[in-house]
Amino acid sequence: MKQQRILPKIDVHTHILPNVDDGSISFANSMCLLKDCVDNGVTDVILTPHYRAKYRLDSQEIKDAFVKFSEQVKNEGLAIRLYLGQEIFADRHVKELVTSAKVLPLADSKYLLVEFDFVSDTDIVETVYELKRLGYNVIVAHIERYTYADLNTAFAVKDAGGLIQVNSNAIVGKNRGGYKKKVKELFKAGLVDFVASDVHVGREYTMEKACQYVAKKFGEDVALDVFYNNAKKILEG
Amino acid sequence: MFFRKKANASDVGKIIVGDVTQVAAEGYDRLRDNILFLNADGNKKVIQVESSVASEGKTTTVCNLAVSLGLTGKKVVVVDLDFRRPKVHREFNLDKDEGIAEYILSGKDLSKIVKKSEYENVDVVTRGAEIHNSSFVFISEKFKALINALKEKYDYVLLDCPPVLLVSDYIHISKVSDGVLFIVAHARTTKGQVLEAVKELKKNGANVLGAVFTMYDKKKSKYYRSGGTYTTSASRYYKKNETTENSSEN
Repeated sequence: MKQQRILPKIDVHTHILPNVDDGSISFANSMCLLKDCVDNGVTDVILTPHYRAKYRLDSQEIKDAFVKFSEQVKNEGLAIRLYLGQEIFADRHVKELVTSAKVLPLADSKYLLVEFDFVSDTDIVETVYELKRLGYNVIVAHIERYTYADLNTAFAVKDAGGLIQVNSNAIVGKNRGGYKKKVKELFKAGLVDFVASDVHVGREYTMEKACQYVAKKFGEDVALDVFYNNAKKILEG
Repeated sequence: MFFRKKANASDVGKIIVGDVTQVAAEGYDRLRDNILFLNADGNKKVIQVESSVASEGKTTTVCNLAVSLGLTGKKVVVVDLDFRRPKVHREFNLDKDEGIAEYILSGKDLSKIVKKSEYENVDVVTRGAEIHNSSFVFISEKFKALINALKEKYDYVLLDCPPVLLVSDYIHISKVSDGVLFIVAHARTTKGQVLEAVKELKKNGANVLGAVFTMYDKKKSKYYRSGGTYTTSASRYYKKNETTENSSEN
């Protein structure tokens, strides 16, 4: 049986930085997650702890935690490059948070990873538009999870200059909330820009499985773009 | 009046008036001509644009109509009265700050809230800051004063309003408008929804001037199959003109 080659990957949405949010409660947990990343062919990881009501650490505290963690990982000799960002919850203060640098863009770039309320109908497009006018490219995190967002929302997000990220376990995991079907529609419409893990401790790391699925269903070019090429643009600034 | 269904969803929400390659642009010009005719006596300047439900193409229609009117030399202002989901500013690539909220609630001068668009003769009044109680704004004397002031200054005041079946703002807005242009998304909005919405408008004394179908889908049209042939011919006509222009450049 012909084996699919392992494509390179960059994971732009992870909760691996220990003790800053609900992602990982210890360095050991985080190392396990990073090893999963390496096993899945991931070469670069952007650590994106939450910024929302429950987790409001100062951006400097996050940066300090990142520096410390990076040193520890380096000492372990793991072949992976780490970057820092945040997953910013979009509430009415998001513009102010961004302009006052209280939240971190991805890898010191002009890309912001933004999540929205899962259930309450939120004007995603307006947030994308406003932040775009401030000079930022908004990546809408796991759009498939928002019950009120459909294909039209995704089109409108792209029209407003936004980008779309879906979770890898929405591609290959159980079809909770109809996520699989939504993600398939997004891929068919050519609307997906990034696939990322959104990994937390306790969740299966599915980037390679998802990549193989996407490559088989939609072509290797598409898989390369959503798992690697588009993310590379973030790292290259 | 029909507008052709968007061939590419990325055309959603774009101002296309003036683009000779787009068949739908012709539709907006026809709408404009109908509005000019209806307002021949000058008594139908303030036009309330409504729909039954959300996402029927109301804002896109309002903005394209405004641009089309502006091209004829008429002075037009588009006022965003959909306080919950304001979108007019996005169509014109403007900020929504400094708008109706600041005029009504903070006493800002009219000259400070009217924004110039990039289109000839088209100005925009955006929502401004969040408005938590729209009824409070619409029943205020300041709101009536705003509409009257705009009426004095412009040939057309186009009001982009929230959907009739979702919020009751239409009840108050109808008191200051000269007529309602009713938008219907073809083969999407149900007959029941349309009838209910129009019934509500008329019950509140609104003068329904006419209706516009948006997102026309010839595959779902029982009665207008020949419309498909027309739009195909129109497409060829526009492409032919484009070819002729290109040839003359050589």
